[in-house]
Amino acid sequence: MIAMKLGWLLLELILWGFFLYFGSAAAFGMAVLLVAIPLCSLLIGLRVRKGVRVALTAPASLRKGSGGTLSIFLWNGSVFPVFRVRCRICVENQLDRQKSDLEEMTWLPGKKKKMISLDVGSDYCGRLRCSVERVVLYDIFGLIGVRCKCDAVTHLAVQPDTFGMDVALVCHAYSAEDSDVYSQERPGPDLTQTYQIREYVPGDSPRQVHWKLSGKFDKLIVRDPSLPITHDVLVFWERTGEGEDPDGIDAQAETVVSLCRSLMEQSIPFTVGWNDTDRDLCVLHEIRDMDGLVGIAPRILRAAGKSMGDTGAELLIQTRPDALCGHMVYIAPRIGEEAMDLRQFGNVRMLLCGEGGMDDAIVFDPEHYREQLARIEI
Amino acid sequence: MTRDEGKGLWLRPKVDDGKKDTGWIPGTVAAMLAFGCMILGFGDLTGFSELYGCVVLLVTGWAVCVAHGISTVLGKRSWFAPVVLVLLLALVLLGRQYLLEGIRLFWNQLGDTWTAGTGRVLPALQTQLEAQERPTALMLFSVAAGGISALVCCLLVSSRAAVLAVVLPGAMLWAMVWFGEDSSVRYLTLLLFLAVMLLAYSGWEKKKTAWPALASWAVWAALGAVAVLGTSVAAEWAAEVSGQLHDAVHTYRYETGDTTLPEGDLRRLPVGAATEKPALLVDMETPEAMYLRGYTGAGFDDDVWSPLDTQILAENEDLLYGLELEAFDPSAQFSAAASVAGYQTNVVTIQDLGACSAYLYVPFSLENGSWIPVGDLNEAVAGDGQRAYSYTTVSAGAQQIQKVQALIQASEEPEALGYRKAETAYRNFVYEHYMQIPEAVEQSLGKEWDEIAAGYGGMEVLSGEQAQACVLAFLDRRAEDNSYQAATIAVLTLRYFGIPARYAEGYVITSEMAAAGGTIQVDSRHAAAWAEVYVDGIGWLPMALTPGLEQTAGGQEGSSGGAAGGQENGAPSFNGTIQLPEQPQPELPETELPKEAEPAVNDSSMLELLETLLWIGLVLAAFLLLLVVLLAIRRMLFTKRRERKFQGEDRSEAVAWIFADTVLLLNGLGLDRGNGSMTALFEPAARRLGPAYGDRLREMTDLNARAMFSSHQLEEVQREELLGFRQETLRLLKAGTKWKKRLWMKWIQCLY
Repeated sequence: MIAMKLGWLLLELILWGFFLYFGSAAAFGMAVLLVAIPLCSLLIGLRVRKGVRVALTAPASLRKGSGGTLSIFLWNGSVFPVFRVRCRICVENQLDRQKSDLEEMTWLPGKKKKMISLDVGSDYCGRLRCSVERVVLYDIFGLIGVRCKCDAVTHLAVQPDTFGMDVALVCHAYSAEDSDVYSQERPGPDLTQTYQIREYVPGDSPRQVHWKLSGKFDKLIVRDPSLPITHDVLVFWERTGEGEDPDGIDAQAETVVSLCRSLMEQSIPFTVGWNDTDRDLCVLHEIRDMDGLVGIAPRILRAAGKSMGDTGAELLIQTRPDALCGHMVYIAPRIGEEAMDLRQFGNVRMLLCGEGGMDDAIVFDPEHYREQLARIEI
Repeated sequence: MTRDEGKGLWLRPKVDDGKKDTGWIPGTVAAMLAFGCMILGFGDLTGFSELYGCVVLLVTGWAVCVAHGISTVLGKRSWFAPVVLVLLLALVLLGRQYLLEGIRLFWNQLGDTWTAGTGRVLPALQTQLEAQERPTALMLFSVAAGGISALVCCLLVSSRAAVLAVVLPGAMLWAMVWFGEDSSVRYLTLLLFLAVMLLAYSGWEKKKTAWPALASWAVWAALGAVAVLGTSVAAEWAAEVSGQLHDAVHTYRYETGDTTLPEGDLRRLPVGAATEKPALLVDMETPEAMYLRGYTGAGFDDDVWSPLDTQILAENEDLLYGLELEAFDPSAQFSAAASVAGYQTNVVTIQDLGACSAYLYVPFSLENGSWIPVGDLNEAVAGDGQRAYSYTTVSAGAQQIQKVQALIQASEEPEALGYRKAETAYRNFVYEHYMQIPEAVEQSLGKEWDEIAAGYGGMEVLSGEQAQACVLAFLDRRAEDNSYQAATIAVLTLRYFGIPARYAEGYVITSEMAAAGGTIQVDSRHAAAWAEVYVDGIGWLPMALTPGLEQTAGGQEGSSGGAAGGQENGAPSFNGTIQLPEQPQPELPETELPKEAEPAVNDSSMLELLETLLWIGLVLAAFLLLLVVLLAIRRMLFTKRRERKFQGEDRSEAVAWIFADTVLLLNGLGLDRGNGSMTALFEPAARRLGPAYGDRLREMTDLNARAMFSSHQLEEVQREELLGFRQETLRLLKAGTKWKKRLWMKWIQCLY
């Protein structure tokens, strides 16, 4: 637009030069018109802008690295055409705060609708907030703009690429493993509690044989052990101390989601949480099934981090000590003092992206995290 | 779609969203128009259109523009510039001799045009080919120049149209100033009009749709045409404003508040009493009386003396420049003549404190020197703002006029012979261009002049002396208010009686002032105008110093009324009337021209015909474009109205409209029910378009009947069903109809 404005100014000066130096009446007429057209367009624009509407549509979700179509619809409710309409479209990844914006120009005939199609996507997972920040109406030379009071917002999720994680819950002497709740849906490892009684099938362990009943019924009867439902897995993603490395944030997000999926596949109920850096509070969600995980994924994808401030560990200990349990997985960009305090409440497996600092922490980097975190013990 | 460059968040326009790319159309049209206007405008300005014409240039350039458009459609635009450059390089390599000759010819034409505008000479390039090979040379030059120019236009239009919108008129403005043209350059208005169109197109270069640019052009074309036509009535006012600005710039640049000389414009004579504020400070090695000439005028029209038209200078460029190269400068002609006799010099130093610094103030006895710009054919010695300068004159030149005149005619020295030959050529030029009298003046004073001439037997039999006597007699009768009018009357009278003369303004140093010695202060009291007479063999002399005419006091008075020149005020005096030898009637000698006149290389009538055809073509193209736009708008309105009816709230009415429209489509297929029932079409439709279609037609006819006559409102699904049937009919229509009929149905009948 600056080139057009500068061009307009230079052309206006040249026309005046022709008029003053050579007495060209035609140049004078054109010079006057070159000023009159934008002024008249300004008046028309003030009238037209009231009838301009804008809307955005985008796909609900995308894969990483794949693009989708972002459509911007503009309506002109007035009979007057608008020869230049400039829209400023902004996209922000709410996870890593990456931003991209674009200005597109189109035109709006009277009483018509126009669509602008854009290609949007991200190489990193996250929730993309797409918005039309500004709509400005111009004359045919793009000189004087009239801003419209209309905007539009939509969101789309760039899904993380999860990877297989072999998560093993390790019992520790000092961890609170006992539980009075057993799963009613599937058997487990706890022989002290019977899930069900059934006939022997080849392959069953001799330890499962219920001798008393077997003697009574003259056939081998086995009992399946129960699955104790332990509420002592907390997956916590530390969002404070975050750098600006989008690869690291992406790796952490995928680690969180992959870990949650692995726990879900093993029917281990867990709680996932993070610290909301905007409101300085802990967000915690108990996940019971896949629907729960799918529902919480968009919220994870917009959990933006910050470099300084109260850590999540600190907030967790102070505000939600009830959520602390026997097994905790702490995913963070770096280790902090507050995170060490979590050990008082249970086993903490630290997954650190980038820098180490503890012997028993698993350090992973954005390039090899899939291999490095393929098998973890909690 | 995946990315393979960089990482992160991206947001960009969609490369292929299925829309048809029509953006190349306004781009190609804009490039063609820009190129055409550039060639026509600059060709006219530089004179190339007269030399060879612009047809080859235009055809070449437009072919390049169209090729650029095609390459855009095919997606090969990145190859376009390299291919064109390679082709041009091949042309250069294969035809370099002719190409160079074309460049020389173009340069020489450029120089001629510049001379015609400014009166200055550009060095010409020596052509090397024969005359019959020049058309080939110019054709190759046109192809190369047209190709390069069109390539630049295409590249700029497709990426930076705003730059071209500024560069084109800016270059024209600069060129017109440099060539000394006025606003009567042809195609100037068109070029300016197009520049604004390009500005309106700017920003749409990379878009796939043509509509925004075309809509902007339509707006500008309508309003711009009105503006241009409307302001055409104000042409006089615009010229007046421009003139005032020119005067203001001239005043700012060259004049001070004390400048008194009107520079030929008798409508702006100085008013008020003369002041003693110094205009010039003159230091002379040997103080002597002088007429310091500044402005000179050759033509008189509407109370204004104008210098000789630069066009005349250009037409006589060969003669005048040739004379200069042979050390014959009209400004220093007397010194060239006096060199035969030998003379002493006098150094004059001028400090210009208040006079107009556009001219240098020099006497007739100025010595030829290197400081006189060679190649400046204009009469007055240009000052260009100089306020201090010095030159050498022939000492006591006024006293040596007769002696020099006698010697130069009698001497047989090679130097004198050379001088006489050159002087003869220049004299012919003077007699041709310094004898014009305005008709109004001739009507006003001619009777009186003839009466005086009758006393000597009539104009036809006047001798040189008698002519001078008639002039003196006429001037003695008159008493003008000031020297400017007196000088004007004197010049016109001299011309009438066959003596070439011109108008001069400047400052007069009298003998008294010279006798006082030291630095001579010249002020407005000494400002005056006088007639200068061309004395054969000598050159231009102030009338008061011209042998035979020095006895008149008219024309020598300063603005304050004081006389200068002539015996009364101590100016150089002569012993009585000098008998001039009989002046031969000017004959046209065989003047050797430094270079041959170049014949025109193109038939002017053919050129005019081609130009006319080109104009007709352009007008037709504009008309066709307008027609297309109107048809498009009409079709758009039809389509809109149709959609409105099809999507109306009343579904039964909408179904009826849809069915009626479908019947029109069937008419297009040749299935016309006339005034009969639709049932008559079932069998023909089934035979021609298939039994399935026939069955569907029957169903839709029933549906239409229900829509028209049933009281129950139809369902939305039924409307959709009929719309689907209409679409199918349309598809069959398009498939079964030739393109010409399809165009007619689409754009004229607006069936779909």
